[in-house]
Amino acid sequence: MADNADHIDGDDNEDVRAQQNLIKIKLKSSEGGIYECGLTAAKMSDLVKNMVESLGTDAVVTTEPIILGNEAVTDAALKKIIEWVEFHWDDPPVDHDFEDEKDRRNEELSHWDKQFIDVDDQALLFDVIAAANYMDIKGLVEVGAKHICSKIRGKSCQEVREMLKITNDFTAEEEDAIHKENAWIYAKD
Amino acid sequence: MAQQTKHKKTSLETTDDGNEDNKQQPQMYAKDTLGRFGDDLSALIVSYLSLEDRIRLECVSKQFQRTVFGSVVDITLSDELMQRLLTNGKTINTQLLATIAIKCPNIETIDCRGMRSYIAYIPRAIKTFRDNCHNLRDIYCNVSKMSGQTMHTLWPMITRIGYKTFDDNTSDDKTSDDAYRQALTHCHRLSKLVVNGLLSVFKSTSGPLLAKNLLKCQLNYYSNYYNTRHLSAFVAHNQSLRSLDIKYIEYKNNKSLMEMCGQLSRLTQLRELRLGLDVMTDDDLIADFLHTIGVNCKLLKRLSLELFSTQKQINVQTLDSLRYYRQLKRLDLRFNATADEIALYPLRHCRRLTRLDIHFRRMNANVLTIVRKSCPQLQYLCIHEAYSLSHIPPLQEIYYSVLIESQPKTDLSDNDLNAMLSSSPKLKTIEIRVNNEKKFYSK
Repeated sequence: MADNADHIDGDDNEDVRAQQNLIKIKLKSSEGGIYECGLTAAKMSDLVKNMVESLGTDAVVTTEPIILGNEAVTDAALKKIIEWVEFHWDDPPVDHDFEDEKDRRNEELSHWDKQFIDVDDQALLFDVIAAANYMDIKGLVEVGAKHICSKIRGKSCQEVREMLKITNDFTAEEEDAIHKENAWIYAKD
Repeated sequence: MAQQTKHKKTSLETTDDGNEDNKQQPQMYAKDTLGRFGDDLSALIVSYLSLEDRIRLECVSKQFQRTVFGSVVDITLSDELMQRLLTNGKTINTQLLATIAIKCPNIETIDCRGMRSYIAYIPRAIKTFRDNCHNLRDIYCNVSKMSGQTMHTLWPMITRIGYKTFDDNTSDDKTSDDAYRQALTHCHRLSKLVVNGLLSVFKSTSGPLLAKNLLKCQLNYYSNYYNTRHLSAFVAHNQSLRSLDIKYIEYKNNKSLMEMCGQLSRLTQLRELRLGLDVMTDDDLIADFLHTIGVNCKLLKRLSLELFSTQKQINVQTLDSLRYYRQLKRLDLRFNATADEIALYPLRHCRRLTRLDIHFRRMNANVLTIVRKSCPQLQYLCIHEAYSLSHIPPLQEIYYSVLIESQPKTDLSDNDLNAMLSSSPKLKTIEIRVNNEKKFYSK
């Protein structure tokens, strides 16, 4: 999941990452709340990573918090996001030596991730996903996406609309036409 | 970018400005509706749906319709899908296939290896997709009854061939073999092949080789005179091989196994080697084999050995040649013998191992202690626990996940496993599989 552009292999790199995660930086939500996060964990966000790289680590550690201005980054969403990156920062990176690691896309979520993302408050769930997307944390967006897909798998259009609070903006005629075109998929054998 | 920075600065100073910015957005959505997401994010979210779900849910909303099909890059043509596309239960409805192809213009790969009953329709189906999906590059199939005019232009698109399927209707093996060989001569871009025996990829017993420059191959090797020669020719023209899965059958004497080993050691580009031996072997031979391959195939990242040993206990020397496998990242060992910690000492040479799969007749907990000490980067451990493992030592700082495949009765209790979890800070899940039932332990 982590983007290892440098191919430094082995224990050293792991140690550096662990050391760096002891350094805490501050993240500020769009609601003004300020939260601490390990540096390596925070850099799972490409947005934060780019800011840290352009400002320099020292500046980030000693000065103002990093401001996450997008409205989806509420206090509650940011807390969830920090929980996720603090759990996942030491995940093994995708090993490009093996073809099957590309298949991780199709893997089911881990037990931990399932519990993490199973949030009753749908507004918060969507905030977390939108905030993760804004902060460019690909792994977390994927967790959110897989969660939503697992909820709507096998459901009818109407059930999905109700669940995800989507307005049906097709006219009755348009909807009929699509239904007709796709009739074969609804047919039970 | 500059505008974004400015936006952040204003929102830093006065919150009012920030709110006003929000109001300028074209439409305000409630926070708990999926409609609040833009098309890009919406497309990403629905990209984990199956094709069937995508088609069924197309009429949820206009945004769904716009975003649900773009991420379809692979399609599997199965019997179930084809059955649904039949008109009057008889012929395939090409119009419906074309509708799918038009909806999913980004398809790059078609996999029809799983198809059994509707193979005859494959050429027409592939053609429909080729005409509508301009990024189509790879087709995976099992060569069988596919023939005819249409196929002639399609063979060069086939990059991967799975098992040769045996046609139930005709018992004429010769015709089917000939069709298979004929097909191979047209597949110029073939890179991955599963084949029963080497003979199938030669035009005739003494004829030329039909599959060259492969990247990946899975085959059975029958030790006899012809096959030794065939293997030599196959190896000579497939120096490109990155991955080989070979099963050795009908073992006659130690010499023929070592001959095969000598041939395989010429494949110096191999990254993955999987070897299954169908016969009893003594440990010296295994040691020789490991030595020859290790010294020559220096790029190996994955090694898998499955064999029956004549000895009850794995010798101290058997795995010693693991010292030549310093690049190895994945190792599977399946021996029907007992392993103790001394036999596994050589694992310390493989410090890059990230995955280890061990399957012994019996082993003790000390084996796991050695594993823990030897492989600092291990992420994944799979233990096939047949009989005797009564406890698991602490596995600190190493594992990402542990899979234990166990006999119906295991001596490991929930307490053991929970203790293991709490004493191993990085361990995220333990999966126990007993008779296909899965049980998870996690934090």
